[in-house]
Amino acid sequence: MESLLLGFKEPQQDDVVEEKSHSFKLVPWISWEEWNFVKTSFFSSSPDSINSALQRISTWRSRGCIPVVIDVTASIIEIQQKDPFFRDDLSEGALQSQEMLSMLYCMAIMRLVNGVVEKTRKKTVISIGEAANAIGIPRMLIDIRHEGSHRDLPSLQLVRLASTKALDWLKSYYWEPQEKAIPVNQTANRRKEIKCRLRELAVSLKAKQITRSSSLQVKGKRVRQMEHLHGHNKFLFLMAGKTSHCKTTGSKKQALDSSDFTEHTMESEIGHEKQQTVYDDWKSVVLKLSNKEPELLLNLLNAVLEKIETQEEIMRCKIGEHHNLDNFAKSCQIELLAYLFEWLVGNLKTVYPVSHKEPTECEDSLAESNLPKETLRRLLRKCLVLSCPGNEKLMDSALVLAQMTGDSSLLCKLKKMASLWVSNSNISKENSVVSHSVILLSEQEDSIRQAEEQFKLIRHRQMNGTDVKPTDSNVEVNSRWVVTKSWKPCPIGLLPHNLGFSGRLPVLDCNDKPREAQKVSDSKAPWERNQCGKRDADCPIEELDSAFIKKVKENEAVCESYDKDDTPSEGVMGRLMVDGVWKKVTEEELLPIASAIRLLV
Amino acid sequence: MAETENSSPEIFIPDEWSKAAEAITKNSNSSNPPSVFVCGPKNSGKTTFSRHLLNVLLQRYSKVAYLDTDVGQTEFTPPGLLSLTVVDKVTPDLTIPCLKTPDRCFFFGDISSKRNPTAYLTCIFSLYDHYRKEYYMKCTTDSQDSAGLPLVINTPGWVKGIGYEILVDMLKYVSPTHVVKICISSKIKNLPAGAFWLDEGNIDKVTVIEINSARRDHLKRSLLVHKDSRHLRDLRVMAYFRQCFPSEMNISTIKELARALAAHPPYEISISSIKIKHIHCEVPKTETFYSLNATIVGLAVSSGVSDQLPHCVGLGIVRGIDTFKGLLYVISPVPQQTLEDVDLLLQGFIPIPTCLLQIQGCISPYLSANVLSTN
Repeated sequence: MESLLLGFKEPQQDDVVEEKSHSFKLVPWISWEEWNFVKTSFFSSSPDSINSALQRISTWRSRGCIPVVIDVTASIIEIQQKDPFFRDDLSEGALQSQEMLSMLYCMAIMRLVNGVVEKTRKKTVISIGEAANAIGIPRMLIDIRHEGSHRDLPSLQLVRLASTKALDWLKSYYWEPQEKAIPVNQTANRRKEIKCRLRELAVSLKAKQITRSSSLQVKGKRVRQMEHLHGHNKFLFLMAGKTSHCKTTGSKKQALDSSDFTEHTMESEIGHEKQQTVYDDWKSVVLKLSNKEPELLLNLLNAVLEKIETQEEIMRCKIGEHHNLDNFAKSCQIELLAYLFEWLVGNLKTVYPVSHKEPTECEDSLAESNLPKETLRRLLRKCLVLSCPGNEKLMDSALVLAQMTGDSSLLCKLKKMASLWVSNSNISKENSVVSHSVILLSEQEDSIRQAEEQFKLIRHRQMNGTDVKPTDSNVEVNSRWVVTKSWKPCPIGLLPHNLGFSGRLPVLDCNDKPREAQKVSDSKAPWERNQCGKRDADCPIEELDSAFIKKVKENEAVCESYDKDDTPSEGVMGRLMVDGVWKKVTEEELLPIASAIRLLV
Repeated sequence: MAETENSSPEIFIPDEWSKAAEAITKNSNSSNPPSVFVCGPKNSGKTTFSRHLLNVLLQRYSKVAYLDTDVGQTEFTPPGLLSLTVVDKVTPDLTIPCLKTPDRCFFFGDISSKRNPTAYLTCIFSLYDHYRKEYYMKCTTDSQDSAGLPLVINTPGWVKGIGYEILVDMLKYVSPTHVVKICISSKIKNLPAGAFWLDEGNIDKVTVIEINSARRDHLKRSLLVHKDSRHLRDLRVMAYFRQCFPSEMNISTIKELARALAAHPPYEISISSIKIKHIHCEVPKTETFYSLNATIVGLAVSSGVSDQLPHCVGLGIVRGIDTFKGLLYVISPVPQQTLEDVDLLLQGFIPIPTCLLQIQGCISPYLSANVLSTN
């Protein structure tokens, strides 16, 4: 491997890049929360928390860019922890001799003075004493430094006193001013404000609906409408301002918490409103916002899908407990959500027109003008997994998404599946209840087969279509170092996020025990295993299969429960044709049948 | 023997230097290849001289071995590595350094030997032993090409205090045939005269050549070219990671490189199949990921024998850690086949260039605004 070291075109201009009058400095902590944790632990009175902070500091030291004030604070606190004067609970064996302690304190104070003062003065212009005065270091520390390096070791009592003074001074010189300079409060405030505005808007819209549905005084309506419009405009203005602000500080995501948003949209149609016009007002808001914030649509789509998922879960859990009405309401909600989803997808299509670029070509990989196929595929997958058979809207949206990926054969397969489901739902409507469950099962079989084929195709396509160098499949299986199959650009130090390029903070805590446990399982499967929860994007085929199995089971459960709930005259309801005879089967018996079907498929 | 044409206009090779190089080359023969130790204070021109010497030697020998002991300003590798490289091509332009794959390399993990002189010397001695074993003992009846290779050793410019002691230890172990001392006009800063490392009796075995630094002003004071060594190191690290991408790809500015690195799909390695070692400081086991995230690590192959030093195959940037999946994401230009043997990540104090972390809209969390400068 030999290459010329070509000079880069920007030699020495950008040592410190200015962005909005902020200069960036390399720090050893990943977030200000980490810094805060260390600060509060240091100045707390519990030895355990002090210990954990000291451990973190030793880690920061290993990164090589720890500020000297933090280093020195840590040293002094560590020495104090070994001093029986400051800690009553020290065991006898851990005591240091007086001589050792004074040497330790003295060294720490010397480092403090040298580290902090030496950097501020020009050596020949002013003396250390003068420079120290300028910063406000207690004179005692300067004297101890002088004494310790040129004369005798100062006494332990003196240096103990000096250490307390030093800590107080460090607090006022560095720790407290830095805490004030952290921009944390700003983002929290902004979020609160945005939430507030969203709530106001929701209330005013709700009021508008009520006045619409129940025809009250015209005057009252108009007043409310005006209020609403006013609130609306104010809101948009505020949001526009906030987003442009937020962009530079990189807190876009937090500022626009989309789950908040969907909460409010849900609230706005709670109860009796079944009509879809309820969304019209919100639609204009969403449109305007998405013009400023293109990621909003993606966030909303994801949030809606999650909502649908949770609603379905609730439905499933509540079956058998409550009466149909509640279920019915829930399924209406799901309908509405599906409608919202469809509309959002339509919007998405207009914002990101179908492109015919090759997936490997991405010159400016951070530009958001081109919606990456990966994101679309993930959305599609999620949508298909969620759509219970018969939910046409989700199916249609899935078709639109597939169209956007530009993958024509995928589109074909989806269309086939869609038509199958349509016929399935038709059948279930037409036929008598007698063969309801049986036919449903056989149709499920077909659709499962189709879906499985199709996902195999998606996965296959994914594996071929990425930038992975074509290696032997054998080598790929056995190698430890594998190029990541799909990667979203994100800052170094963060992990890629499903949407957008800002990345998410990693969890870096580790315990030894789980790792050992992992070792055992990893020795069996040397390459990575997906152990994540729901939010993870990469969904291996096994997980999908199990999702479909779940569907089969739940549909059977649904059938059974419906049968139970309906009129007790059973006839052949709730029975499965086994060996030519209608038999009533229990859940446990259904499970092996379900798995047998899977094997057949 | 024609002198190499000086095709680098800014580099000035004084006569004294070319004569020294010629002398070294002429008086040697293939059964007794020269080993040349180049030393001198900072910025005196050691690296330039050794490059020139390499070129001259290559006119006579087909290959020359180069032992790089200057961890802060490495020649053919990124900083922080101690390496033995076999050079077979003349460097046409002495101003542009090249990145080459060394024959054997150790990850020292710091830009100066100050932090651990013992480990530094151990690595260097091991590299020298490797040279002796592989490239020196073949003299006897073979043709010129398979004879022993000449060795050029470049050293850091730390010639006082601990640095002096380290140089003496190196000289005593290597016992070179030639020692080239570059002197600057300010006499206190130079190394002592003569064969300062030897006791009285052994002076005959070595030829000490003292030359002066290249440029002088009208008052005969040395004009030293001061380099921003930190910046040079950053450039070298960036050039190293530029190799992750094919050379046809149009990356000519630092910003483009940073962007490309952020978007480049990294290697993933499961945490349980790799060992992590913090070389110069102790990090508690539970905190090891806090220490590793977004840092430069050395990729090493641990040897079977416990006290042998692990061989380093290159550097990598740990660009992310996913504890849920148990994966480390590492960007590295090392080819995948070589990577397969890597089972040890070594963390030292090689600073990651901040310009690689600073991309508009994609700034690393370790680059923070609002940091109080306590200066």
